[in-house]
Amino acid sequence: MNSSIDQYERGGERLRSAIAGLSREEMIWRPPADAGVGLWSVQQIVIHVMDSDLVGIDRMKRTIAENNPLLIGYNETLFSQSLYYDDQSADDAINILELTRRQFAKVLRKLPKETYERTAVHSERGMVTLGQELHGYNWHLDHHLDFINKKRAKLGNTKA
Amino acid sequence: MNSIIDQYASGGDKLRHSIEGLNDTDLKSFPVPGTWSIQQIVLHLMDSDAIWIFRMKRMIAEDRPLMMGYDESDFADNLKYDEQSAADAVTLFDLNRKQFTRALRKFSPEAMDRKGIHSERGEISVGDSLKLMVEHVDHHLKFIKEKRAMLGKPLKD
Repeated sequence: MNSSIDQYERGGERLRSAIAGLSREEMIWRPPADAGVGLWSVQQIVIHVMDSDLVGIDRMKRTIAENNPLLIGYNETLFSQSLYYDDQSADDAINILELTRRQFAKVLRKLPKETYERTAVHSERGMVTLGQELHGYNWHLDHHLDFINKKRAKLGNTKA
Repeated sequence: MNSIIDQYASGGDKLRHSIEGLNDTDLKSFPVPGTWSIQQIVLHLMDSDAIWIFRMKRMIAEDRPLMMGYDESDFADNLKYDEQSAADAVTLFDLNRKQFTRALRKFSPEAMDRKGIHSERGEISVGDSLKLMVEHVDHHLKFIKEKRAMLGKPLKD
């Protein structure tokens, strides 16, 4: 579990490095559908992973602290359409993600192994363990970093 | 609506000010027996605020979402509050509110009436939630002040 926690904690710096050197225009560029690099702008991805982390950490905390809690899914598309993602700050989003993960990693490192087997019930995915949630959020960031890289390639501004 | 949003946005500064000059021992001691330490209050406010921001986002973006209550005592007992950083908790509290305030200032006035269904409290609107969050900080600041006085480190205004 330690390597998963390390990976989780490094998420903020990986996200920061993924968008380094992008201009505001590049951040809010919406790729056309036929570009094959996803429809969201990099800005939308960054605010989305901040929001996803906000609920993800709450879900993991409930899984640790409560008994088989019910976790309610949310609609990420409606979030990206309704919550003024372009008006929020990408820098603050990364700072929030980085600091929240660093803070929560302190908790994760103190938990006995068996706590990672604790379960919760997700309203759409069904039963999940804490260990699976942690892996899921690591996978989720990787998934979006991959799309950021693909968008950068289309923009002709690849990561240094 | 602007003034409630302004009050909400300044919550982080109030919280930061309320623990200024306290050391680790002060934060983690129990000056009023049977009640939380200041450390526990600060971590509780960080956790509670993050949950409520997500709830308000769901009320805005979704249609009358169901929002599950949580047990704050279970959180305080099981989430290693003493291992976490109170300074980082205050920074997060502040950053989360400032970030969400950027969206709040863009919403139409009608957005404040959008509602969600809380599993214990029932129906609640975005506007009610904002007011609740402003009051929540003030409620806990009162106890922080009381504890500081007991520690011999009263809060300077």
